[in-house]
Amino acid sequence: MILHLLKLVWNRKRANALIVAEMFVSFLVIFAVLTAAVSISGGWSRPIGFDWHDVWDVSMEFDIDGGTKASPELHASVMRMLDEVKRFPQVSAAAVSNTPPYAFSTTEGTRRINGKDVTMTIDDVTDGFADVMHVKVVRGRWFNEEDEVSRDIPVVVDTNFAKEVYGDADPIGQKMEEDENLFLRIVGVIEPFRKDGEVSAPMNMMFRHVAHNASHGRLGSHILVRLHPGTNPLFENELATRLRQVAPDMSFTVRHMDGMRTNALRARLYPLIAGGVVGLFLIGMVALGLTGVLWQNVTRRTREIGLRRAMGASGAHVHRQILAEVALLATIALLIGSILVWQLPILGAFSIVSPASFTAGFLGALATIYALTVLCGLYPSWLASRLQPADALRYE
Amino acid sequence: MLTNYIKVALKVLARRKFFTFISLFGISFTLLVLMVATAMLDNVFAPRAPESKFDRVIGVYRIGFHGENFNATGNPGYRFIKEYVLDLPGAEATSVFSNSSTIGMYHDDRKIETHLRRTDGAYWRILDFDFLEGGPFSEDDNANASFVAVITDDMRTKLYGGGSKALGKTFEADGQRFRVVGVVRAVPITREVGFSEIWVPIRTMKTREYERQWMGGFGGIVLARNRSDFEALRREFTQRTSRFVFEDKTFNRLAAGLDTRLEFAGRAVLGSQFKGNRALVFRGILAGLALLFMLLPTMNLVSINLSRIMERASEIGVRKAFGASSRTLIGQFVVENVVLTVIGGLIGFVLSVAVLAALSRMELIPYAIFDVNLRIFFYGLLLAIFFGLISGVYPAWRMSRIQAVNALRGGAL
Repeated sequence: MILHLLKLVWNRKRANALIVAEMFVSFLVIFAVLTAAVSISGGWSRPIGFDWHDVWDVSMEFDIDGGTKASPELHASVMRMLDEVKRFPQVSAAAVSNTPPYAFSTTEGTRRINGKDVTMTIDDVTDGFADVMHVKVVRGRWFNEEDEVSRDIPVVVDTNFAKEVYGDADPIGQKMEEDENLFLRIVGVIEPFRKDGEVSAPMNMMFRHVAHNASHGRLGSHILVRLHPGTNPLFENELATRLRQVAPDMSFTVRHMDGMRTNALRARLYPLIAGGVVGLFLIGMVALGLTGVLWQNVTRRTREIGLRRAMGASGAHVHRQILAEVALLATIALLIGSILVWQLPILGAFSIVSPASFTAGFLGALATIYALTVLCGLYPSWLASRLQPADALRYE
Repeated sequence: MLTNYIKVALKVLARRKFFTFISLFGISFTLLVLMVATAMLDNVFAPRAPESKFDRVIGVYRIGFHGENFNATGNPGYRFIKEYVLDLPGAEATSVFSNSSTIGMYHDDRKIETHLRRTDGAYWRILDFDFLEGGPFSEDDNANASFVAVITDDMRTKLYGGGSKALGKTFEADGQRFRVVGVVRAVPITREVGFSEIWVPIRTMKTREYERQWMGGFGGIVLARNRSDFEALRREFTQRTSRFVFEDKTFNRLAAGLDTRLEFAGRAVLGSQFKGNRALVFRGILAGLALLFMLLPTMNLVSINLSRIMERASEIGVRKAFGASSRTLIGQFVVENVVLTVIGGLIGFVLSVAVLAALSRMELIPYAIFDVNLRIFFYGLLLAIFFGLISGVYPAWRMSRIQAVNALRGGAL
């Protein structure tokens, strides 16, 4: 039966090649859209590792020339502002951060640790950060006073980082070379921290300690402030005025993290929504086109179908034959598509999406294409099954 | 002859409504997407007010320091622009300005989130703002660090209420009090150099720290008398920067160039190390993306066209029997297809006007008015004809190969 169908398909190879090519490209489009959607919605339901409610960001305007250290005066004036912020009764915690959540800036690097290249996201923070962002420590401890005088730079990593680098071994106390004669030392492990929030992929997060006394650490240009819930928004003006008195040379602006979050999520979601809408329309267009072409095929194969009816094939039989042919075409297209898509993990696709969302996108795309082809074949094959043998043969 | 083809084409379209609907749906949607994308790119790259002289402007928007182990890329610093871009010999004018940064202002117990940019005096000669009140500040204002500001009409409403004049009034931003000397019409956020809501002199910065910085926070532009001067200006710039000495020894190579807006986009996409014609490669990438997007609609249209031709086998047979050459038939079918795509294109154009108006109203991008001008209409028409040609040629060729005898007999083709 299948061989016979293959022969029928092969006989009309030129017209069918086009349909196969169309299904193949549609498969790729659906696969891409579905994988992105699954990957993002999956990320949405997982915890992000911090709490953005009631957090303000005092974002200062200074740039430190590529890589060089901040001047002692600059360091002192930022720390002066930090101490001043903590003095307000409305503020429950405050910390300096270099690349805070949702702020559109990221420090990313690849290091060779234990003979393995590890890509990591880094933020440089003072010890108050855990209280501001409500970070949960699962092993060891967060930064504290004793880190101020540490010879190594204390760091806290998240569980993703610990697992990637040390596997099941205890990461506490492990050292990594930062520079000549300068080491990073892990003092604690926190729950997975996804800096860009709900839509960001899992990352290997590392926090480097920044000392108040400027003995080590890279000064950041953000002061994150956690307020007691229900603080009057007008407090912002009071805070800004006070900080201007403390550091008259500093330019800064106060932003609310919920607003920053909305902007950051929008920037990630809008392109996906646009892509999804365009993809949907493309698929709709292909579906209509396929129906048209199949319909036309059936009209053109009147004689063949008539002959089959005359030889005793039932209407249902013809119905099934046409559908099976379409399904066969889809199978060919999906086979080529699958071979291509499964090359992607070899090219490193799993560093962008998780294997689970990749598989889900793949299976979803397979199912969609089969459903689509069968749906498009239904009406034309029903038409074919209604053909009367007498009508069909008379055509000659 | 052509009018005849068009008449036949319209008759054929009216015959099988379902097929016509599928074709037109596909074509108009495809062109709708392409036209919306074109309008957005036009909004970013085309020289439009206040950057209407930008076909003659090249600038330094991003620089890179490269070393053995470390790379740093970012906006140039004030010092870099001052030493290597300002007063470039052969230029009509040069300007330095900071990036527009978000600031929060506290005005009458309200918080206003807005954008502030610091500029020199020449900025106002290179860009042509539409002044509703007053005028720009001058280079003297900058040199004296006068606390004067130009604001947009939108900002005027936010600060002083609708319908009131702003000239001479003051406001406080980042702890400094500025006096309004000019009001301009609001600028879309897509204009990299022109956009802001408040403009003040550079020297009003709280510290002079910025004057020491090689990297961060600024940009510089050069207005050439003529596009043909770009070459000489770039040579001059390269010669100047070849003397650059790194204070930080981790770096030993500088990546910087005077770019048009398109070349800058190319630099962002291709990386600053890329050698070669960035603008051309960037255009190539855009065209490639458009072609990739058109792949599926084209295949769809081709298969529908093929089906329709087979339906017309007898007509083709008759024409062949009466001596029409293959070339004539190909020509006829391609013309028919172009007619179809242009009709689809017109529908797509009308739809894109509606979609763009909706996008502008939704204010996804602040102050961006996505309008359809003649240039975009022209691009759209070009796209439609191109689409019609590529989707019509293969079916036409198949049609021309139909055997007249078989076609007339009504047998297999």
